[in-house]
Amino acid sequence: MANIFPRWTNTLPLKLLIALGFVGAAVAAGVTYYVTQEYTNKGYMPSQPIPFSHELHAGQVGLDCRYCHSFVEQSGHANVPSSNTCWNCHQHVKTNSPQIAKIKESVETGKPLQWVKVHKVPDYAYFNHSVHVNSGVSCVSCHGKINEMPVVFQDQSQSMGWCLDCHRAPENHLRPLDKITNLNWTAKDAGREQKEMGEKLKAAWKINPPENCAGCHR
Amino acid sequence: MRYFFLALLLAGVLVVGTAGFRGDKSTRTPIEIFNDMDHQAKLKPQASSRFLGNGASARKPVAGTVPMGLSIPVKAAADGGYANYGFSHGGDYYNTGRLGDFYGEGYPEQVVVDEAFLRLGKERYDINCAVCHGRSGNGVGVTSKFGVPNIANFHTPPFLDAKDPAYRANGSIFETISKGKGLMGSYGANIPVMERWAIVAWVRTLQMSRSAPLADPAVKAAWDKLNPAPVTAAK
Ligand code: HEC
Ligand code: HEC
Ligand code: HEC
Ligand code: HEC
Ligand code: HEC
Ligand code: HEC
Repeated sequence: MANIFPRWTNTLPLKLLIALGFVGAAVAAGVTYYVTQEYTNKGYMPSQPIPFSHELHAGQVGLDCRYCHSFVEQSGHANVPSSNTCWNCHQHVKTNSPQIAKIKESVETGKPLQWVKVHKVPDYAYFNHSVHVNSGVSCVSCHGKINEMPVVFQDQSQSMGWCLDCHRAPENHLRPLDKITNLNWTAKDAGREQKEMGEKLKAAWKINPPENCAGCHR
Repeated sequence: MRYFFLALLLAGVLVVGTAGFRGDKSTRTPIEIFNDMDHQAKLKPQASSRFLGNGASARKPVAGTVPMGLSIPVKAAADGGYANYGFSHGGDYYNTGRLGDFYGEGYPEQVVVDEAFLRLGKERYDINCAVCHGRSGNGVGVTSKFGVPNIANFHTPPFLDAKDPAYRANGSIFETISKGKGLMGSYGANIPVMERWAIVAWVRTLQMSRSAPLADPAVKAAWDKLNPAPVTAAK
């Protein structure tokens, strides 16, 4: 009787096993790399109805974040400015630009500019700006160097792991309250070490961010 | 086996080629891998809704009605004085800067002018006003270089001299912040009432600072306190 299986099939199970191992490893690597918010959210840079530049306004002109985002310190959500806030300057500045004409139209008709939301916390999680900003966490810890961005993009993953990284070790981010909107400031500018200064502030202000589920999933 | 590895490599290159790397800039809306309850029927602030047809998530108050959310009116709207100034709704001096038909001087009773209040005023002034009026109030902020014309200089007689026929009393400055005036737009929607009064107090402080003699020991002490010697690097 002839062999039903040719000789090479002897090693087939082993080969299949190895192949499966490699495919499995590749898929696992792909998933850990891609199926996370590090990949899905970071770098999201939608195009906005008006090419508004933070680099120009917050960087060069030197506007404080709170000139436009006026209620970050008082309210849970950070407000995007009304067209009126832009118009206070732009009724005089660059009035002949077609981009500015859109602001004018919005002010006159009362129809708001439809800015596209960049950062988003899912509806099942609770986030509050005023708590963070008043506890000495700067915008730069969560949004990156906005004052150097011609177009805003998401600089941090803002995943749950990312929130918790800071909640477990807030001393790496805390700073004096008058430096919250100064995105270029670092502890070095005051001749201090971030860690050492953060520890002091954490103790002085009794900072204790929630790590239990109900803190954020309320 | 060789072909298998080649195929695997090819697949890998293909995936990285189409999916790119972490942190790549993209204008596409982020993919939601499990979007279980990411989008709920509730509306968060600044979100739009299709319910009302115009995209707004809340209705505007009906014309002629008086919002009661922030302070309870002492008088009925029909008795007058309930104009809506930004988000303040009273008709009293604190909310309007006016006493009857005149601008008030001095501060309303709700306001206690102390050091903390002046610090608040300085902070808010530097955020909202300094871009145009300058940190010292001289009317030459950054934007004057970009075409904002005729910015008021707070160190001129109409702001300093109570005997000047055009004198701007505290109440007048308050009203300018709330509603704007002439070439200046309004900041009533950006600055809460108490902070507007703090800014008024800071404008007055800036004016006073020009004439405070450094020879006066009290002034010198205050100056030294506000401007400590530069921090030398810690050992
Ligand atoms: C002149 C007004 C102005 C100033 C000053 C300003 N912003 Fe903005 N900001 C806007 C507008 C308008 C948008 C919405 C359009 C966009 O995303 O570009 C925005 C969007 C943003 C967003 C993205 C919001 C989202 O949709 O997720 C962040 C974060 C932000 N600003 C942070 C800052 C920080 C930090 C500063 C201070 C360095 C600052 N902004 C200063 C007007 C301003
Ligand atoms: C403090 C005053 C100020 C405010 C408030 C302000 N801008 Fe500007 N904006 C400027 C200045 C100054 C320039 C630069 C003008 C120049 O280059 O000559 C500018 C330039 C621009 C330009 C570029 C125009 C062009 O065609 O080159 C756009 C677009 C713009 N601003 C949009 C906005 C929007 C939208 C807002 C409101 C969120 C806003 N600005 C608020 C001062 C302001
Ligand atoms: C602890 C992290 C953190 C800090 C600090 C922080 N933000 Fe945010 N910011 C977020 C998150 C998370 C969101 C998304 C919120 C949401 O979807 O409800 C966001 C959203 C925003 C938005 C868009 C709000 C909207 O509804 O579209 C603006 C504007 C903004 N931030 C500005 C600022 C400014 C200005 C500062 C500094 C004064 C600041 N943020 C500090 C985490 C932070
Ligand atoms: C850079 C540091 C940092 C990051 C990032 C951060 N937090 Fe926090 N969080 C803090 C600090 C500091 C506090 C203040 C704790 C205190 O005052 O005791 C806080 C407090 C809170 C609180 C308690 C608020 C309250 O009312 O008691 C919640 C909820 C919260 N954070 C949610 C979040 C969520 C959701 C995220 C991610 C989207 C996040 N945080 C990211 C530092 C951070
Ligand atoms: C610091 C705030 C914070 C705390 C504490 C926290 N979460 Fe979260 N959690 C978040 C945020 C923010 C997200 C959403 C991340 C995203 O998808 O953008 C999230 C997402 C999740 C998700 C993912 C849902 C999905 O479909 O992707 C689960 C499950 C979850 N949290 C469970 C928990 C549990 C269980 C705990 C307690 C051990 C906990 N969380 C504590 C902030 C928090
Ligand atoms: C966008 C630039 C700009 C900003 C920001 C600004 N102003 Fe003005 N302000 C002006 C201009 C321009 C005038 C001259 C108005 C006129 O004479 O028609 C003026 C005039 C004034 C006057 C005199 C009004 C009168 O009675 O003649 C006062 C008081 C004043 N500003 C206070 C403030 C305060 C307080 C702030 C901060 C909350 C502020 N301004 C922010 C541009 C600005």
